[in-house]
Amino acid sequence: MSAHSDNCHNNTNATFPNVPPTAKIPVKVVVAGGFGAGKTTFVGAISEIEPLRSEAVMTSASTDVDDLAFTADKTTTTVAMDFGRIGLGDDIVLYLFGTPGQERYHFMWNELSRGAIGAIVVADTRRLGDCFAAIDYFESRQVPFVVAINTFHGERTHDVTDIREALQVPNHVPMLHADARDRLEVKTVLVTMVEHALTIHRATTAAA
Amino acid sequence: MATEDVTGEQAAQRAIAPVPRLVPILTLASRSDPPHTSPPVVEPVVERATEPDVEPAPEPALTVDGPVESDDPGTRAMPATSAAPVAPEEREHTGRLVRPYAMTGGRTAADVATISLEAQIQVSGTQPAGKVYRWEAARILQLAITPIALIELSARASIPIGVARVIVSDLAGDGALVVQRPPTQPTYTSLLEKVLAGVRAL
Repeated sequence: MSAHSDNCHNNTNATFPNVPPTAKIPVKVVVAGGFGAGKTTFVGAISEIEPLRSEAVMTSASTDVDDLAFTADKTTTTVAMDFGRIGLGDDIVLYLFGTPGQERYHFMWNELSRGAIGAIVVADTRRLGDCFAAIDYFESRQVPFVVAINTFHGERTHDVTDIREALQVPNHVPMLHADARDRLEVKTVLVTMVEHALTIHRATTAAA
Repeated sequence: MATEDVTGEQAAQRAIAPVPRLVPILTLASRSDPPHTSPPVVEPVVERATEPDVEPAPEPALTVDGPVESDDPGTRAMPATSAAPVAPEEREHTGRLVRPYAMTGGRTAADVATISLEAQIQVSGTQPAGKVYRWEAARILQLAITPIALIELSARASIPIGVARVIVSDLAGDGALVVQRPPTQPTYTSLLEKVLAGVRAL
């Protein structure tokens, strides 16, 4: 009796010893912003793992979007992307992808935003222009996004209304201050983003 | 005399000829560089036009090659802004001694069914008969003992994403790896609700 049930148990495990009964659902969020805006810090504040760096090799096929100032004689350019991971309950795993905000990384944004639940644009008030391209991109692709104004060292030098005006972000797009190093503030941004994505999705399904 | 005049005209035509050819490139340049749409961009555009002649090599150059390339006329034609040669240290900063796609026999992700960056990958638990995996493939199999995303495999094995994708695809084709299909959710709304509950609980 017990031998029989043991046998059955072993059978299922012998073929796939490590495959759990249910696979986790991967979801992703894009974190975009200019260099030094705090993307990786933001990802690291909430990720379960130290942010990891992965590389994408851009070959000569995409040179027309590459910046010539990068190098004069190279046929490939390596772009680094930092990402983090958070387990949500037993069945969901969330990936946060930090991606450079410049227009020439568009080729990567396409891949990143495909299937993403939404995006977070990390803005640095000293260089607001750095996030124009990201905002334009997410707006045109209808990727739900929020703007997180990184308050370096807790300084809120500008009012949200002023920044909204400067960035020309419509009122329905959530915009909030957050210290990229502070886990709770980063969490609030993430919650706001998912709520926003849900609101938009409900509105579009209701309209359809 | 007359023949000289003709050649003079021909020369003039040749001098003019390249201009219309440059028009599409000019629009390309202005698209990638919106703030500077004013005419003075013409000069860099000319150099840009020479670029395709220099660039078509499909494979990246080895990082070992050195200053010999600066003798290449194409390189000399590069705009003054980018003329500052890239320091060898900068070119070597990836620390790679093998061309990235050499690991895949030159194949790129283009001929591979696209595996998303976040796709969960795991060993199947069965080693295909007669297959011995080495280097990157063996490393990937080792890392995928528990489910792991493609991007994380790429990062932990220090392999560019595109290359990791090709190797994973091959291993999945052999039956050594499984690219998991997550359980489908009743609706996208219910998935978002689950995610929301999850992030709120963080």
